[in-house]
Amino acid sequence: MASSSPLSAASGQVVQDYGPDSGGRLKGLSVVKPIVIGNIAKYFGKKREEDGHTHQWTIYMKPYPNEDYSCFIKKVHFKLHDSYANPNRIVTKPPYEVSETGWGEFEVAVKIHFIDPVERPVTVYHVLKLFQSGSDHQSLQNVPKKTVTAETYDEMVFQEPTRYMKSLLDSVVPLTLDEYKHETDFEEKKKSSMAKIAAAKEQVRAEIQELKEKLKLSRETIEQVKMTPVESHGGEKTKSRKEESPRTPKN
Amino acid sequence: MDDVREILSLQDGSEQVDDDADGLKKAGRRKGWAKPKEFTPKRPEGMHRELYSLLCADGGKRFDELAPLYPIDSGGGYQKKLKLGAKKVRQWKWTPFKNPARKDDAVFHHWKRVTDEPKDYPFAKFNKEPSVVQYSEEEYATHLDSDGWTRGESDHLLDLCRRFNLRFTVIHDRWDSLAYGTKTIEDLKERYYSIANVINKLRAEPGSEPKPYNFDADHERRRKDQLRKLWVRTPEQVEEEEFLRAEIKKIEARKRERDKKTQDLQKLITAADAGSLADAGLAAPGTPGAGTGPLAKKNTNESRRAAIMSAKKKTGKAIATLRGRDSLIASGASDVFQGIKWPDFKTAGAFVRSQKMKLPGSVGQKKMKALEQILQKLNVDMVQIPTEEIVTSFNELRSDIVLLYELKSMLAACDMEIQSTAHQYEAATGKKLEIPAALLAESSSLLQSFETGGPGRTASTSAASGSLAASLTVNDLDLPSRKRKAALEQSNILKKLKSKML
Repeated sequence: MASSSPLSAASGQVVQDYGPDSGGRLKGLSVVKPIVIGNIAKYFGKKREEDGHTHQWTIYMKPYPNEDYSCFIKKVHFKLHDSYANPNRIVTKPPYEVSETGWGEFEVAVKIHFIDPVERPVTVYHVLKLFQSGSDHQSLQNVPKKTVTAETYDEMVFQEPTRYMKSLLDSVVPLTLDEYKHETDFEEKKKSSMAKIAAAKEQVRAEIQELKEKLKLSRETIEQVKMTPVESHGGEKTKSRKEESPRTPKN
Repeated sequence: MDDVREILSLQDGSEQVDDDADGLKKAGRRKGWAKPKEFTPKRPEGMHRELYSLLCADGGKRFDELAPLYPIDSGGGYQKKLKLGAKKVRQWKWTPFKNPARKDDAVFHHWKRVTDEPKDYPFAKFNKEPSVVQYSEEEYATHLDSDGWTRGESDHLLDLCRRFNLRFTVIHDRWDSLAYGTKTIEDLKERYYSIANVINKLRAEPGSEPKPYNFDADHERRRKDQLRKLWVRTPEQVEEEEFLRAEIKKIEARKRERDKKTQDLQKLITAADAGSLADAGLAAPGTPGAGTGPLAKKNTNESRRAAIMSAKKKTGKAIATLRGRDSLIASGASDVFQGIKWPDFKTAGAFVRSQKMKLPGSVGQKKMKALEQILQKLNVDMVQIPTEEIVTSFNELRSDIVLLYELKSMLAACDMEIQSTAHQYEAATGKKLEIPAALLAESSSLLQSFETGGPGRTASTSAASGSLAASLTVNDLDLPSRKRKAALEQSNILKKLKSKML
């Protein structure tokens, strides 16, 4: 840096490091921020007269750990079904959620924009759940005011973030004020899925091995058959047979 | 009134009828028959109502508003008739004239308007005379005495050039061949332009370079020679030439085909190499030769040798035979077993991890379905929590499953091959082919499942033992194996026929 004054040098540093067009990405680094996307839905107990809506629901995007993500998230864009008056709901402050009423389930696109404009926004999809799945559906109608929840865990991965983004991500502070719990116990789920997958993998690998050996054997058999010298007259016999055969019906 | 008119069958009072609407109203009951009494031209059969009402305004009630059905000439039309030839005819006269381009004062005649001004013959201006060079004695002696042309010949040439304005065809015709010997047009042209170039150069003002005439006599001679040759071809020669052209086209097409085949083969070979490599990588350590590694290598060597051979011979035949004979093995080797190729997420930027679990588009419908089936069987959810660890191993698992599927269909194809070769072997030698027992057990059950073909329900023995592969349906073999099956059936039929005949 050519500037002589320490003050201007410092400001220059800032521009170089965090400026939106600095483009300086931190190689080989990736920051993971887990999130939970979900909705809760409550049945009115009856069909509303004026618009036929049956449920009150809230869709949300929240940090998985008890942290405040607003220091790097600029806004969250919930794209509702087109039949809503204004389907594009933009939330700029936590809690990132939209409450509405409705009668049907649909997919909501949740687009998360970051404060650093260089980092492209990410989109996650959540299918709004209003009804208990499967056979519960009927009984739900009889049990009014029952809440339904559906949550999915996801992770935002910042691959080689910009310096600016990195500083924003680092400024996330854990909150300890109140108890923080999700509707779904993801830790438990993680463990059980991991175990299942590992077991399945083992089984599949074993079968692959088995199949490979069989394949090898059958290939070798084919080779062997092909290599076996076939008596020339025999070969010719088959040929002549084939040529003769169309004539046979005439005879 | 109406009645009277009707009785008298008067028809011209239609206007009055209209005015007399009250009367009509009174006779409301009889309206039905009172109407036709008004003069309405009958609607021609088949004419559309819309068109009809255009013709007859007001529903055809008013006769005077009817548009004419056919063109009428009332005399006083919209436009006055044009009267042509109102003026008096101008006179033409046969007049003599002189062409200024002619020096012999010849008088010709032509037709001319009397009123026209007498002036020069208008076409005289087209009589352009080129300037023909002329040399002096001295110039000829110093610069032009060469090229096998005598002075007399040169003089004669220039004289003719002047006389015929450089029209060399005429010059050639008028050339005094008795006195100066025969010369071709090219000879004449060459001589003239060389003289002109020399003279122009000599007389040019110092410093300025005159543009020389470019006449390539040799080129011209060759050109004419070629044209003459083309002209004098016999019909047989023309025919032969056309035939040869067609042959050349064929040869070129064959060459292109061959090149394409060689390229294909090259691809096959590289794919086989990659396949064997992939296989070697996948094979568990400590189990030498597990998988198709060595076999694939052997194939590779063979196909490479074949490729070299074909490259030398430059015939498509070698390739064709190679393809025919080793079709299965070659195609098997070209199947690069790798399961699912997951896209890389190496580029910088933010993404959500769940994206990494999305199946790439390269996984087809059948594989996707098989994947679903197997995952269900393994009691693994289709959607997983996207932590890094889970994503990696879940993707690996799915890749393995697809690999398993590929191996399974490969094995089924191989089995078909075994069956068909066994049949051929039996037919050729009369002996029964010994198939390894382990293979036989599995393959026969596979064959069953293939022939029963019901998706999802395979009555194979291995299904009972809980094998995953058995739950894969193998009715989705690729085309060649199906062909092979058809061939097999055909050979069976032939055999039956043969036995019947005997």
